[in-house]
Amino acid sequence: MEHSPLEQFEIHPILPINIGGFDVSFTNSALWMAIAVGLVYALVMYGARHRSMVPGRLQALVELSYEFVADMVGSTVGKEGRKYFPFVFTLFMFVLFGNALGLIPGSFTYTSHIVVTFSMAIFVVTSVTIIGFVRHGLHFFSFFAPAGCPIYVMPLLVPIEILSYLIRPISLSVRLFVNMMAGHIMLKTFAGFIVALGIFGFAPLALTVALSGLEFAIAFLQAYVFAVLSCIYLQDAIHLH
Amino acid sequence: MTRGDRSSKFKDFDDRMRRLRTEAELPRGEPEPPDRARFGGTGVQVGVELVAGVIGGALIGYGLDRWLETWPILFVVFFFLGAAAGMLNAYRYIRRVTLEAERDQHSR
Repeated sequence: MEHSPLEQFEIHPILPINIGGFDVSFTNSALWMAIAVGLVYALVMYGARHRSMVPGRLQALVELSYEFVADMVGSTVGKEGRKYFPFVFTLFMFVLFGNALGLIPGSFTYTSHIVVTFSMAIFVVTSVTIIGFVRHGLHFFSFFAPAGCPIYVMPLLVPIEILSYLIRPISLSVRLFVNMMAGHIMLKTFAGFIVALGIFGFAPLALTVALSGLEFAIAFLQAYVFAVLSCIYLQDAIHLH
Repeated sequence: MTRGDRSSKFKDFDDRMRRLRTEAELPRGEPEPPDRARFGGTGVQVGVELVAGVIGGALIGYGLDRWLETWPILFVVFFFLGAAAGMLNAYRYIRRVTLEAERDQHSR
């Protein structure tokens, strides 16, 4: 109503810091990132502290998330992917906690900002490219020339292949950011109708409840998609198609 | 990762677990996620891929034009190349989802 549905995405500094003309303030976005990292660390460390044969609830949760990501890396990248497991696990947990924490009323969803998702995506694609070059050297360029295709279509095909590679960080980041932002705007808009409609407010209320459930599913799903696509890019770089 | 290396102790546990499951008439193994939940709204994902292609191509073309002062030739060229690249990415995405769904059906 008076509150715009876009207000939740505003970034305000909590601790203004200025170093050499650059604004590096500790913002609400940074705060929630720190909370997410702290929570993941605490969950894994505290949950796995007993190392018992028959896990308790928290340990089961830690083992479940470990096995989930390990299976994902194993099935998409294969055996060589094992050493990149910590990277994918970190990525998955960071995105998952960002999405999930954002559903707490009054919190801030850092994954709903394109800066955040784009920096993560560009980091993923850059490191994957470096891994590809380290593994294959200049042979990595054969990635852009599909095998068994006639020489006269190459001038058209190679630029398209290179572009489709360069576009990866955009599609990877836009996917996550759009899903999170759209979901939060939708929730806020429908929630705004509840009071405005008075007695008929039960209809948007029911919808908001349903949407909240959907958002939880999307929060998990988008973290999964982000991680699985990173794995697929990694697999491409390691096996060159 | 932990599936392959099970000691005899674990195997014993597995056997007992399986027996108990059949006695209780529980489904064996872990529940499979439904196909649709796998890649989450394939339509939306493919749409993002197409849009990202056009945006990426246009941005790269614009940047090159600014740098080489050839506006608007490269912008136009890269706009269309980007659109084509987006379609290529979308096609690969769909093919991957389809392959995965087929593999799931076979393994079931």
